[in-house]
Amino acid sequence: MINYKTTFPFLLLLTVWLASCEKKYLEIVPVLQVEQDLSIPGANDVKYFSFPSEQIGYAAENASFIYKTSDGGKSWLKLAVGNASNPCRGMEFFDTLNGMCLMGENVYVTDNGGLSWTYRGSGQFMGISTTGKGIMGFSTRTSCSILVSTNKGKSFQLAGNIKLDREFEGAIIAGTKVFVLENDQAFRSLSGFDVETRNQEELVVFGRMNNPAAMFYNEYSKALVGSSGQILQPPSPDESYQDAYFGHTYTYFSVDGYQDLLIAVGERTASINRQYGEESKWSELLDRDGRSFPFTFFKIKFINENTFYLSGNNGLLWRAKI
Amino acid sequence: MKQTLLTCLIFIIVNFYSEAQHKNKKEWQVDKFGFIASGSYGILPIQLSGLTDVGSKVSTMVGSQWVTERPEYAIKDTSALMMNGMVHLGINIPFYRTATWSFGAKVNAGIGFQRSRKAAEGLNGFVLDFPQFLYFRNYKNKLDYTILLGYKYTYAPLSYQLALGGIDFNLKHNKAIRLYGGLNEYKYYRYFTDGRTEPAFRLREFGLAYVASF
Repeated sequence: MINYKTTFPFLLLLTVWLASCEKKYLEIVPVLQVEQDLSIPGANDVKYFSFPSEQIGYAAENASFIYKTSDGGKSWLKLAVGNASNPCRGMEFFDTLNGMCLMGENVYVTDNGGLSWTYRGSGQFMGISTTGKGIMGFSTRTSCSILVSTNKGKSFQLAGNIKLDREFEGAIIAGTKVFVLENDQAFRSLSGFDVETRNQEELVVFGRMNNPAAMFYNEYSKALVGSSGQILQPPSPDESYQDAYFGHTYTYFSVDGYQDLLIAVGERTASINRQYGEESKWSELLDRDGRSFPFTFFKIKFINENTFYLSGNNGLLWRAKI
Repeated sequence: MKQTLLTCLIFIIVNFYSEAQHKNKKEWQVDKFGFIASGSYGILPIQLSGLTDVGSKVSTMVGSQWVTERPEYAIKDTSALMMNGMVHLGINIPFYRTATWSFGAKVNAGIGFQRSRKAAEGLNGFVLDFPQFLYFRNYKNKLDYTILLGYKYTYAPLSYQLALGGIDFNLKHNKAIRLYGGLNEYKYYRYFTDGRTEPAFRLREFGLAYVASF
């Protein structure tokens, strides 16, 4: 004979367990995890950084000097860049010793880890391509000249010119390409130049973006970010750039990615594009408490599939992961 | 297959046995194999949480699109109330009967509509409901009642399953009023990429039903 006094409570527990044991997920929330805080005490807006190795890194703000760490960010030294008095407007390192700095409109190079700097010429932009070529450029009224270095900045040769229709505003270096920004309120295209193939290209944009700030592309994805909080992407590799995310009006300053993962950062925002199964979508990257960031981020750079460096205001410099 | 046949055999034997046992009981009080139909109204308190702008919430028109100007995002909880109305058809299957009580199962399937207020408008829609009960019916006294314990699966815009408890107050002429409620809270979770999980959607259900047996 069944003992109902014990069977009923048992069945009750069993059904409650059955009904609640399976976990179903409604959403995946990307949160940023700071692996290492490398922030620079006393620094302001860290707009540029370069970590050629885990121990040796360089960072710069809008000042006439740069910072260097040789102990993985535990301590930072201030290094003067030649006799430059203009603020830093760009800084990249090829390796632990060889690097370039744009101070005002003067390009300096170093081959000894920033101990001494050599003036290389005047330029309005500089950078390093993903293939390791040094790039610097300057504009006249009618064209923008692009110079390329294949020996880590020791010498630069003219690689090509991009014709300008309007006043030169700046340039974006992405991958192996340089895209020139012209003063154009109703901007609809970017003129580009590939330092590897030496080909020019016209990048057509169907989105609304007045001031593009950064671009990233690889074989998996492409993104163009800028002011007014828009992220543009081509729906498929051969199509034009179009609005892909417009979640707010904060300005983006940088975008980087690894394979199909993209992160764009800017004023009080870090936005992530991640592939979830078939679907890829942009969302805000949150802190551990599930809140958006109160900081301004200036630059992001991936070092592997999930780890990246991130800089921001008040000397912020993190090695972080998702 | 063997198990199903065995279960059917036991069920038939038990039914014949219990039927023979209680010839003197008032007909409506004798728990019988039969069909049941019910209409129910359920109230579902829900807790939702999601990424919300907790800043100034000012939007601006850019092109043809409204965009939040300077949001401050945070995950915030919201409460909402959802209601459903359903009709069920089922079978009452007594397993064992004595002079004063019986024990069995009620197998049901139903269809209905679910509606919610503003906070969860996306959850409005048709539902398919499958509540299954084991029951203990006591008809020893004038108060003829049935205690229900069961499990239900509801196919809805956000499907859920609940352990159910309930009580039927059996009225004359094979009618009953049922009060039921979920014994657990059904949860959908949010997965954070740092490995944590937390509930993103929580639901309970309580309801009232009018049940008729044939």
